[in-house]
Amino acid sequence: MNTVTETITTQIERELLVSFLERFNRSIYVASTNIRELVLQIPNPILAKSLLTYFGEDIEYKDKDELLIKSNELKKHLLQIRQVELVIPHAPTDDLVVFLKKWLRDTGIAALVHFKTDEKMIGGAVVESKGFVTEYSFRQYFEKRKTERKGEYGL
Amino acid sequence: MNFAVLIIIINLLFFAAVAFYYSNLKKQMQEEAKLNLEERKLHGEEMIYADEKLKEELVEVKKRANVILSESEKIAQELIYELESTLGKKSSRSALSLPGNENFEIELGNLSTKIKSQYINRIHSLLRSLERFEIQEAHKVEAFAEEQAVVTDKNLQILRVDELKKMHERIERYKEGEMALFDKKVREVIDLAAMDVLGHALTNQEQTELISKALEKARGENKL
Repeated sequence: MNTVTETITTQIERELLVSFLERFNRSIYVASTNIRELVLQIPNPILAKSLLTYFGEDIEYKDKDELLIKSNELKKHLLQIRQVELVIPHAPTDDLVVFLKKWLRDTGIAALVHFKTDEKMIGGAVVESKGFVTEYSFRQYFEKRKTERKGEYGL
Repeated sequence: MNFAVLIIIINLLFFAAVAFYYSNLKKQMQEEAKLNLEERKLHGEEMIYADEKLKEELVEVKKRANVILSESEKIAQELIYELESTLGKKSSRSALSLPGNENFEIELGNLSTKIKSQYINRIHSLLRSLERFEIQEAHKVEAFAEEQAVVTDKNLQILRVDELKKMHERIERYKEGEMALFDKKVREVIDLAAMDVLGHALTNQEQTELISKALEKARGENKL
């Protein structure tokens, strides 16, 4: 299960995976479905591979009920992973997602990132997690400077 | 004989009455003239007072405008200085500690000289255009004051005094409203310049580094 969850970093990836598992649950009992092919159709090959590892490489020969139980367990586990809001100035790049994946793994933080954008940040981010808001950005820096000046000059 | 004396007495009385009437008339005219003179003097003083007041207001407006311009320039210069200091670190790629309550560390190594001059020019052009606006306003008030000096008609003078009072009120509104707007505009443009120029100047790697700092900060404070 951990192999699968480690491959996803963002809230969108979770939504897509949950959506896939729901389709998977509906399809496994259809006689004409090639289950292995169904998994391999996932656009992210690393995720597809991790799913095959989780369900078993011999997935097409597995008991359908057993696959359903494992699929529901995975879905439940995915939905329990907490979410961290990350407000950044521009849309996230692939490099940023790769960086976050590594950073979360290295720090041992089990969370998925939900991105929001706000150009006024200029650079840096606002992190919203566990009910706390932490900001480290140019916006914050400039705001502080302006507040200091306001008091100083009475403007 | 008695009749002749009576005629003389009547004539004397008539001349005395005429003399008394003209004497009174003259006195009345003198008083009116005096009153007119005093009234004119009073309006003249009012005009001089209003004119002086206007000049004082004008000086105050210019002084205030200069103070705000100077302070705005100062803020802009400080931001520019920080940017230039940061750009000075270009080759070394070492972390720069910007002053502030929190230790704001950031690397801005890839900001080009072109971007730097763009940022500086944006702020300078804004300050110049705002300065032009201040000068235009001051010229309007000066022109009005000059216009008052050549008006001699009494009724027109009274009207002008009212207009001067209105002008003072307008200057007050100008000081409160326009100056606040001016100040706000300077701040907005500094923000816009920072957002447009700095925001787009940061590379993906620099943006990622800043986001990493934000995450580390949240983690360090046990808020992640």
